[in-house]
Formats: sequence, C-alpha cells, structure tokens
Amino acid sequence: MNRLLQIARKDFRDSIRERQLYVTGAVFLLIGVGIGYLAGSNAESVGPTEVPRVTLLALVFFSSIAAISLSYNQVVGKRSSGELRVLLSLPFSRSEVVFGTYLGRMALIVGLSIASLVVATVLAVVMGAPIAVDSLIGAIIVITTLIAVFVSLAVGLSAGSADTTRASAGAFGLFIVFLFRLWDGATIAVRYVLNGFAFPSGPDPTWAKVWTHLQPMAALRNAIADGLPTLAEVFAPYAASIPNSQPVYTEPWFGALVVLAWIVLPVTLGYVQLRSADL
Amino acid sequence: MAAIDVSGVTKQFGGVTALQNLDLTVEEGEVFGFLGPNGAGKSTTIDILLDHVRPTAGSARVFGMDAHDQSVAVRERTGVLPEGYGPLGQMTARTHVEFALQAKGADGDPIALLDRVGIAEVSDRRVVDFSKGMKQRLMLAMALAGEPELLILDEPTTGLDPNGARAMRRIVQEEADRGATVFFSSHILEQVEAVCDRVGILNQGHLAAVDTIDGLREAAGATGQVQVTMDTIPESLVGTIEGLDGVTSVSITDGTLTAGCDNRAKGAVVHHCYEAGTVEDVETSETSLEDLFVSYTGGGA
Repeated sequence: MNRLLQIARKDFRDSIRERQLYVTGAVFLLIGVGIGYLAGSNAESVGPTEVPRVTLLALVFFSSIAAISLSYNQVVGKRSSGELRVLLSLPFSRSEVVFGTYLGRMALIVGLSIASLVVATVLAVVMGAPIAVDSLIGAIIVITTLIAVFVSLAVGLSAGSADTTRASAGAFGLFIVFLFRLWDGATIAVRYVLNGFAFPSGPDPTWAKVWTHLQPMAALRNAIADGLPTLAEVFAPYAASIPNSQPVYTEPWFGALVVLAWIVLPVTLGYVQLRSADL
Repeated sequence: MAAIDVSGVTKQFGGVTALQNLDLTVEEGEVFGFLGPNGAGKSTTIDILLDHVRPTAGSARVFGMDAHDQSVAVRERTGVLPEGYGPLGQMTARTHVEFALQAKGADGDPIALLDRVGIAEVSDRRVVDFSKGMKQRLMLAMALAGEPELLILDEPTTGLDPNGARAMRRIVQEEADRGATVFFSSHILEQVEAVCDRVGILNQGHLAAVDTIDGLREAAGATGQVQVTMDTIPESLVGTIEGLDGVTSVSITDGTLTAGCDNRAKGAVVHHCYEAGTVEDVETSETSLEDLFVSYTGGGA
C-alpha cells in the first residue's frame, strides 16, 4: 500500500515539471474565470444551477481531453525511457506501477477540474450570483466519475502498449471513439455490412440501441438522469438520447454498472497486458 | 543456501535463443563476475533474476525465492544497477536516492550515499542533465540504498572514466567486505579480475566456463608472456629458451621473440636473450586474460 502511494505521489509530482500541465491548467482556469464572470455579470437573471451546469458542460469536453492527453504516455513513456526498469529494479510490483500511476493522474486531473469549478463558483458568488450547493457537489461527483473513466482508458492503453507510437495512435482513437461519437457510428457500419453492403433503413435494431447506451458518457448520463436531471443534459452532445419507453439498459442502475465497468476494466486489462510482457 | 540459483533456464525472443539451458549458482558472500561478449545473454540472465523478462523454460531462484512469483521480495533484498536505465522523471540526484531508500523501507543518508559514489556536490541537480558517467554513479548509489544482501550490477563500469571504474571496484570490494553477495556483468575481463572470487564466462547463451581467475588461467596454460626485440636472433636461442623451466611456448615474428611463460621465468628468458645478442626492447604482460577470454568465446568479442 505504501509503495502504491509512493508511485501515485511521484506521478503527481512528475506533472509539476510538465509544460503541458501549465497549458492545461491555464485552460481550466480560464474556463472557471470566464463562466464565473459571465454568471456574475448577469447575477439577477442567472439560475442557481447554471454555474455548475455550464462549467460541467465545458469540463466534460476539456477534462476528458486532459485525462487522455496527460495520461496516455505515463507508463509506456517510462518503458521506452528506461525509467520503468529502474522502478521495477526497486521493490515495486507492476500492479503498483500501473495503479499508482492511475491514482496520481486521477488526483491531478480531478484537482484541475475541481479548481475550475471552485474558481467559477467563487467568482460568481462574489459578484452576487446564486449557486445551488447540491448542484455544485453533483457536478464535482459527475466530473470525477467521468475522469475516472478516461484516466482508466488512457492509463490502461499506456500500460498495454509496447511502444509510444502505438499509445499515441490509441490516444487519438480514444478521442475519436468517445468524444466524436465514432462509438455510435460503428453500429451504422455494422448494419451496412449486415445489410449486404447497402445503407440500412428503418429503425435501429435493439442491439444497436443497447450498444449506444454502453458508451461510458451515455451510461453516466443514464445513471444520473433521475437524480441530477439538470446536469445529465450536458452529455447530450456525446450520447444517444433515452427512448421514451425507458428500456432496462437505460435504467440508472444499469448505467451505473456500465460506468463502473468502464472505470475498472480498461486499467485492469492494461495491467494484465503489462504483467506478462518482457520489458 | 545459494544467493542465486539458475537452473535449466532457456529464453527465446521470437525465434532467437538468448539463453540455452543455463545453470548457474552464486554462493552467499561471493563476488561473481559474469563475463561474455556483447549479446552473449548476460543482461537476459539478469533480467530473468529481476523478473523483467520471463524464462521460456527453467527457473531462477534468489535466496531460495522464485524470481518470478516472489519478485518483490527478491528485490527488497537486492540492490540493482540495471542496464538501459532512465532517470525518474525530473527528480534531482538526492530525490532519486531518497526515492530508492523509501521504496526499500530503509533509513539512510542520501547525501552520504551520493558522496560514496563521488557525486555529492551535484545532489540538487536534475538527473536528466547528468552525463552518462554521473548517471551510472547515481544508479550505483540507488543500488547501495538500504544495504542490500545482494547487489546485481549490469555492466557497472560502462561509461565511467578510469577513476570512476576504480571507485566502482573499491565499492564492490567494500560491499563484499560488509558481507553482501555481488553479481556483476562485464565484457571487459580486466575489470573483474581484481575483485572477483569467481567468474563465469557466457557465450551465445551457454556457460562456457566457471572458475576462479587463477583456475581459468591454469586451465588455459600460459599465465603470461614476455616479448624481446633483438637486432638479430640466433637460431639456437629458440631451443635454449624452450628448454627453460616455466616456458610453455616460443615464437618469432619480425625480429621479436615471444615466450609464453610463468612470471618467474621471464627474467631467465630476458637473460638468455641478452647473452645471445643485442636486445632492443623488452615487453612483459599477462595477456592470457584476453587470450583466455577469446579462447572461450571463439573470438566473437
């Protein structure tokens, strides 16, 4: 446990020297300042849930990008530089290296995102705008969960990649698949093939609908759709909408399970890949 | 119990065999030099001991513990200078050593360790800016952290200047005196001679020989040679010198007589040459180390 945290602390501290962190930090700060200032300037008309909701809307995009771009090189980069050899010559296990890196990157990107929310909130409050505390807490929980998914994907990718080139390509793939909805587009490609290489017509078959709700952002939205409906709206650009019939695979509990799988599985699979690898 | 016990280890990378049925035992408290030309499989052997790579067949044990299943426990008791290392992020030399001490759960003064390897004065500089030799010294300091029972050093003198190489040998000797087992690899025989209790010569994935340096010398015959350059060499001289006690071979090339012999016979060889003609130059050496190495590794070095 101590060694796991030693890796996590080291990973967190490593970031302080990364130039990319300062660029990312500046973007997150600007988001907070911009939204807080806008809300404060319209203090009479802005609703109490607006600052958390709009900040979350921005962070869903920027935190996901930051999680991928700041994490995808964290294991494979050490593997190619020889740093991993040094760590694994000391009494660290490979699981401590992978999961410690996961915790360190989580702390970093969650910290940046919460800082952005806090800056927006403080500025808005100082300028006289109302803030719903439960929405703010909700936004923190939602963005932390989303970051947990994307850091898991990126660290898992990093641990499972044999070289940095493949990890870079994989990171690019993560952007496309999840932020630009290639995930949903994949069903059309499959249906095109199943339809004898002709464009399909008619309503989506059930399997295609289920597939779109297995996407992590859709699943997270489904998980909070009842409890935090205002915040759930921010996922609209990334996720298929919930059908009126509310089938079982769009239930909150189902979404929560899918999100949990997206947090646990990618980093674990990456670790399993690294565990059996020759360095 | 043996500090290192490798039995029947084979390692193939793709279709290439790096190690072939290797057996090797290093006793506790021993300084063992692991020799071989580049590509002989030295680093692969060390990587298997550290669980950086897994054997295709066979098993390796360190202090009786399986090198794979109990790798963390093995590395808790082992200090390592790995090959192909890279600095830890952007940390300074001091934080590197502190990090190693913390990982080992050991107390210790990082500056004292850096001082021991001769880089205390740069303790607060970032290691990414270090020269190869300074990084090598830092890695040794990290290996020494926590007074490990076993030191595994992969090509420890690579990148060091002669002073650094001497300091490395002194530290190996000090660690051995403390009671540690030292296992280190090198492709330069002279560097292991002064400190090793035993050496193993690895060639193309096989262990070609294991013995003390003296034992290897004896096995190979001549222990030294003397070269005498003369203006003319009388024909009878070769026979005279061949008949001397302790001389094993005599040859003549370009006015130079070369006699393979014991050290104690060198004086007699030179004396007979001096009496037989005009001696222009005398060179004496213990070349057989190099010859020995080449003879075991087929000149592949």
